[in-house]
Amino acid sequence: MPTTKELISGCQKGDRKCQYDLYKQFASGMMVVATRYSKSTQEAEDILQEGFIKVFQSIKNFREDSSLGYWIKRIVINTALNHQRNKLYLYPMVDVDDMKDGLSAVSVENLALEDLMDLVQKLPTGCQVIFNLYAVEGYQHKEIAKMLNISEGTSKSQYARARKLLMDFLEKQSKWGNERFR
Amino acid sequence: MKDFDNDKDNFNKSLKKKFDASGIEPSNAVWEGIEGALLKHENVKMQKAAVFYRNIAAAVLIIAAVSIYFNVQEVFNGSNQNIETVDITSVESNETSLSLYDNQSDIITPPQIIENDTEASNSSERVINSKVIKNLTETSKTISDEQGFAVGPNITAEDNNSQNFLPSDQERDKDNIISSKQTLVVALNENSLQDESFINDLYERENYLSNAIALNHAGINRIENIAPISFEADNIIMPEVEVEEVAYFAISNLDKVNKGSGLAFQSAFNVGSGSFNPNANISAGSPQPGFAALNAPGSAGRTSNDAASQEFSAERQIVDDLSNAPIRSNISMTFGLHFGVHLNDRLKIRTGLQYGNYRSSTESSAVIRDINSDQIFPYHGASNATELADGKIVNITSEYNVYNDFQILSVPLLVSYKFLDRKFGIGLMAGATADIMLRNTIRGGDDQISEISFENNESQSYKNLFYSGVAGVEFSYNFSKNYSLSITPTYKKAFMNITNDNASFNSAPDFLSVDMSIQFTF
Repeated sequence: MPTTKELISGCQKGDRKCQYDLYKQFASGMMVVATRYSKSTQEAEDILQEGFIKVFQSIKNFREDSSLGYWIKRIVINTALNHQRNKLYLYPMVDVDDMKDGLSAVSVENLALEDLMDLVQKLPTGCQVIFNLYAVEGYQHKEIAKMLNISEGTSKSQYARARKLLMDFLEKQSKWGNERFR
Repeated sequence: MKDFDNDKDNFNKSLKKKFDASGIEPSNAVWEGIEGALLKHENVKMQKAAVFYRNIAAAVLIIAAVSIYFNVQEVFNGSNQNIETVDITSVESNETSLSLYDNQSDIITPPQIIENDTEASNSSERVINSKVIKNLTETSKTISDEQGFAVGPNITAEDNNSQNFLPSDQERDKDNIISSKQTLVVALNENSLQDESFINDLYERENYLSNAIALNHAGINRIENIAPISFEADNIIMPEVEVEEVAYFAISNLDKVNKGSGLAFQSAFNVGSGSFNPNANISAGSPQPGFAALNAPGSAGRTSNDAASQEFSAERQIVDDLSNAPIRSNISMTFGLHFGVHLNDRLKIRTGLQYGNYRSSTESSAVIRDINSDQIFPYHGASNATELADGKIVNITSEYNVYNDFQILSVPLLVSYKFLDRKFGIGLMAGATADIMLRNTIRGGDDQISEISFENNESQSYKNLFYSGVAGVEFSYNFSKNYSLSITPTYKKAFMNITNDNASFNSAPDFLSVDMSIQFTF
């Protein structure tokens, strides 16, 4: 198995085998990222495909100041954001003051990945993107506002809304589960 | 505002941990798609390189073809008009030689070759086949005697050291072959000129006629540019043909093609591309006065005319006033056919038809939503009240692009005056156009938004007919007697407000373009 450095060098030369090896190494992890930002598996695969095409086309510019995995992840996230930007945010936005108090922590440890992914994909597009960027990727609201060309307040309100919706989903699922097994 | 930024319950952390630790295997189609796209990209790169080289080759060929075309034309024109020629009108003959006279009775004295025997022809490669010469001389004599004139380029040469036709010392010594003191005669008649073997013989064995004799099939009545090329310098024969003007293998770009042309008709195919700005001189105004209130923080809901949805967001601004809307000019195309009359060398008028697709775009944060069908249409400041009737409301959305295309048919009346009338010409052009609005199409830059299109008879906010002024500077190039190419930077602006009473704003758009036309004058 070639090392990461050899893979990068091969990809920079356009070696198809190195490109395939690199893809195999990162595809499953990046598929999770793409799925979090999409509404369906098909859309996630589109994002993944487009992201990797960009990776191979711009790998000549890759400087090893960051890890290859992080660099690829950023490209996939940006690709996903571009996908979402093309969609209209027709969902009504709510003021944070209207939100109920945060529910007590609901454990996600026991949830299957597919179920968790289903919940994230059910979020409205704006909420889904901002929740992923803030809660999972760790961006600050200021950075998100800049990335999406929205105000910081919108980012906060969308995140709050996403979190509330997730909590509601989890609570319902938990109740349903408890009732089912009672 | 409640603080949801912190993660006291570690929800985010546990979520992140869960996602980071997991993986989902994509289908094989993803790699196939990637590989296909990479192959396509590589092909495109190769094609671009191929196109680059092909374009260079095409450019070289075009330049070569154009220069050959003009140069050949010039050579023909020059040979007919510019080169001094000598018309041969009569020939006097004697027993051994023939003399040539031109109109002005100047004797032309090219070389003479006397009849010779076989020994002589064997002794020197430069001696013209004696049989041929003999034959020629006899034939020429016969014709001269009978008709009193020669039909071939009968050339005589006076004895002259610098003009020996067969000049080597060895040959000079051989009196029985060729004597420099004797006049050499090459007598060519029409029959012999048609004899290919004879001509080949001259070229191959003597190699002195390469480009020297201009052969005229109809009796050779002109001699042009006689210059042997294979002899040594001191033996070169310079024929005594005076050359007054030389046609160079090049043309002057400043030469005028048509001199003194009077009334002429012209047709032109015209293509233009430029920047259309419908926002020029636009006045303030909102399609519905109530819309402006949607932008006031805290005072309105997200939609108009829809009491059920009054949740407010100050993040989006509705575009309710075109004077504030950032309308961008997009590249627009026009093409048409013009007909005109040249009143004189410099002044011409023309008219015709010109079709244009005038494009502009802007951004909007609102859509028109049909409550009944749930269809969404683009909304922008030029939308008018009638678009919002019948259960249609304005709904604030995220930002999207709005593209507005006007299809306009123009009938121009243009006057142009050339103040530099050469092969390259420069002139001023001005006039007016009657513009008929054929169609106005408004599209949203999103799949979810349907297109709105207004035909001429329902052109909502805009007039069906309006008038514009046009002015430009015309740079032309006459590449032949009848054809010319011109490039005209043009500015066009509506004389009047192009909106109708339905619209709540005024607009007088302008169009800055570069027009290119190919003209045929007949």
